[in-house]
Amino acid sequence: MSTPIQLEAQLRTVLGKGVSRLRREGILPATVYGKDREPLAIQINEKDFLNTYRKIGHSVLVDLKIDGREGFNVFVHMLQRHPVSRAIIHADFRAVDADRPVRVNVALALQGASPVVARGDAIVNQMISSVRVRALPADMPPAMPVDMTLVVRPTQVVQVKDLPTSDKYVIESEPELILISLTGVKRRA
Amino acid sequence: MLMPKRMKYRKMQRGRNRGLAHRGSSVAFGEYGLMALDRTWITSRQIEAARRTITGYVKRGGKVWIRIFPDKPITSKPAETRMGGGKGSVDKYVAVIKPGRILFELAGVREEVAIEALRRAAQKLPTRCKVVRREEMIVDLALVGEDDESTGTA
Repeated sequence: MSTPIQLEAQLRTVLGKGVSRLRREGILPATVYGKDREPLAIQINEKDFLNTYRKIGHSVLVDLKIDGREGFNVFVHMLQRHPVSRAIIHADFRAVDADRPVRVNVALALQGASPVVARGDAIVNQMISSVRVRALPADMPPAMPVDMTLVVRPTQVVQVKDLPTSDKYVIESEPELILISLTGVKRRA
Repeated sequence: MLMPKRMKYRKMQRGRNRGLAHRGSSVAFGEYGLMALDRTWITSRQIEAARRTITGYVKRGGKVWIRIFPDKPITSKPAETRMGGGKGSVDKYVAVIKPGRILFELAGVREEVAIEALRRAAQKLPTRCKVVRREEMIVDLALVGEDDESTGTA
């Protein structure tokens, strides 16, 4: 397995409305919590967080070091965004135990192009963007690949049961749930 | 045009419109959304005009969601009427909009078509708008956990 992704954080003493000053300085207020743990107010360099988050999303385990000491195994759990700018203004990290299975919403990653879509005969409707997966934290898939090249008919749909399976994780979403469908495009006269 | 099926009370006071749209401020159904940047009232006629603009530009294919509903009755008195005589009759229905509110969503069309359709729809509305994309992660499997550069160490 590759080395775990690391993030450096500091304990946060500024609480409440004072955190807006931190945001102006490029620091993102955040919280770590988890089962049988006291919640911990922390702060992270915003740029570092965004660079990491763009690559990993919500289903990759992160080694969160706080003040350089031994840290937590965490998932990015929830993000708060500004209603207008949509900038991230707060992050929640969920600390997990390495030996206890967790449930995480894993994003779908569409791979390749359906021949029908490539011909311009249909458009892709992605109904759902993530599926619920139960696995040990280290075995959590970073994304759930959907092979679009196998979608060859305009009436064809991709359901949860079509996703790749593994003995390392269990997909808990309803097997019949439709993830992807195609809508035929009528040619203009 | 959109309007409530039935109302508990026929007429409403103006009220205040403060704060930002903390609900309905993210693209939830489609791939692209039209976000209001001002606080305003949008009438059912304006919503319908914007909707027609989108469907007209997109032609076929694509799906449109209207994320606002005009549920506030606005009364007015007839022209050249003296004051008094009670509150006027219901003239129109409006949706109360705060900055950040997603007004329309669009899916199933190419990006440039979606942006242009929503830009044209914004011309029909009494607010400045911006086109936003869905925020969810589009995870690129090639980036995850394979190369050392992806370990964004602080």
